[in-house]
Amino acid sequence: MREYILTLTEPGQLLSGVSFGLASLLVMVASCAAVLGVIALNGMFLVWWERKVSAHMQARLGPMTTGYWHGWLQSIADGIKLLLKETIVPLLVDKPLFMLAPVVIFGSAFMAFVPIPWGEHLIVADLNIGVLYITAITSLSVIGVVMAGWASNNKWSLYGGMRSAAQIVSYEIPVGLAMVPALMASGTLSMQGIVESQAGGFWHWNLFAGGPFTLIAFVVFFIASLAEVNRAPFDLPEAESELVSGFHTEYSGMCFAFFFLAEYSEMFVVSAIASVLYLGGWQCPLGLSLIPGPLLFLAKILFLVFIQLWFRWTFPRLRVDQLMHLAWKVLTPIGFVNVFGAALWLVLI
Amino acid sequence: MVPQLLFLLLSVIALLGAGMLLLRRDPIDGALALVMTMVALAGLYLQLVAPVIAALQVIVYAGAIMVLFLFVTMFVRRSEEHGPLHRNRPVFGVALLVAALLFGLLANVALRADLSSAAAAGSSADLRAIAEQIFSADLFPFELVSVLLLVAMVGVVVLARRGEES
Repeated sequence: MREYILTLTEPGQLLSGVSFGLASLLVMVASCAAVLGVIALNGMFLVWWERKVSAHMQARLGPMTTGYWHGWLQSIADGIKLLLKETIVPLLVDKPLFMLAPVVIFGSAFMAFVPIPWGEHLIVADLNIGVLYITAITSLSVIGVVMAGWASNNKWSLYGGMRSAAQIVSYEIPVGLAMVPALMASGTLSMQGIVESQAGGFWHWNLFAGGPFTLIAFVVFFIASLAEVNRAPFDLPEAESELVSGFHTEYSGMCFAFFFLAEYSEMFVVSAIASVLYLGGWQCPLGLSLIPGPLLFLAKILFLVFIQLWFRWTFPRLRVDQLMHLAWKVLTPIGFVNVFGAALWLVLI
Repeated sequence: MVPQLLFLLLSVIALLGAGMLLLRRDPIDGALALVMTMVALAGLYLQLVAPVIAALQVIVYAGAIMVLFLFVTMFVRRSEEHGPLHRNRPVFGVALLVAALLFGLLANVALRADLSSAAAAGSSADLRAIAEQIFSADLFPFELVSVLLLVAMVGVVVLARRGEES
């Protein structure tokens, strides 16, 4: 980062003659703006895509009128509506916590974008503890969910917050265990380093590095990360049919939009982590360099996001006891066996 | 200039959180204040160039332990019951005494410790160095701690089960 900013301030470069402090400030602001842009575009696209996918899976058409072509303007219209709506704060809520909760959730979703590598040099900051950093930041979002559930002073919100706390703490363990085989295969925690270690065709991907064990680890990671981001069939914290909308029942206007944006960008982030860890990130599946890396990375992410949407409209929601059973008695033991199996495979074969 | 300001800011946040933990009567507010302290401490570790410790601090304390605290507090909460402050003298006196002892102990350690060498060691402590320390030099104490935790876990399960049967 420091070297990059220094090269930018050299004569003839974009920021020639600008002092180092000002240049770093400018780079930081530009990075934040880029991440915000990705989050906003991603949110708008995924809302539309989810509605289209769900509609077609149920033999409907979904939004068709706004913007003429398949209702492509629908989520922009929805976004403007949310911006213009009044943020209603109910009388008996804990006001500071109520207002802080969306900030915490959105902040954690926003900060998770920092170490995601988009291309060979396209990364906000290549942290040498990248994977640990993402785990730490995403584990903070549950604090926001609990705050929202508590502060709303509403029994549905409280139940949503409590379910979310239990769910996310439980599923952090299989997620962590399912990351380990990829980290062992790559031998680094830096996201960029993990992608670079998988260069040269899909047979070099971590997905196949540890025989059957890394394949299983990928599946475990995918299932457990669905629960981490509260997606169906693990969407108990916001179960519409029983909890109205769970922890964000009392939110409206832009505060609600923050929850929404955070959820969609978390979907995007877990898919990005899965494709960095196991699917070679921005590397080309055939080892060629015809298609730009960022496009390939985006295609992999959107493919995983599509599977998430597909799951949502295919599987019914789990019960609380089934949820806990799956985490503690199925995914966690598989995760432990996988770590040992992958380690043996990597050492012996 | 910037590092000093950051240190000041993080310390103030950490102390503010600790103070709120002691002074707020609502246990949920207290737990959330403690989360604030934990995150600020992680920031201080980052300033000491110990990113691994900072990340683990957030994952373990802010992300897991405090969430469990919040969960349990919400579970056992009785509405409109914030619990009376313990104003009866003996308990208050003992608490004050223990707090003073603990403070004295910590202050003693902090004053005696050679912080310059600790800071220098921290700057090179990346994940590999930590792993080598844990899995070679300190392997025995590390395994001992794991066994201790396992015993505690089994004990908790046994105690919980006993309550269920009676």
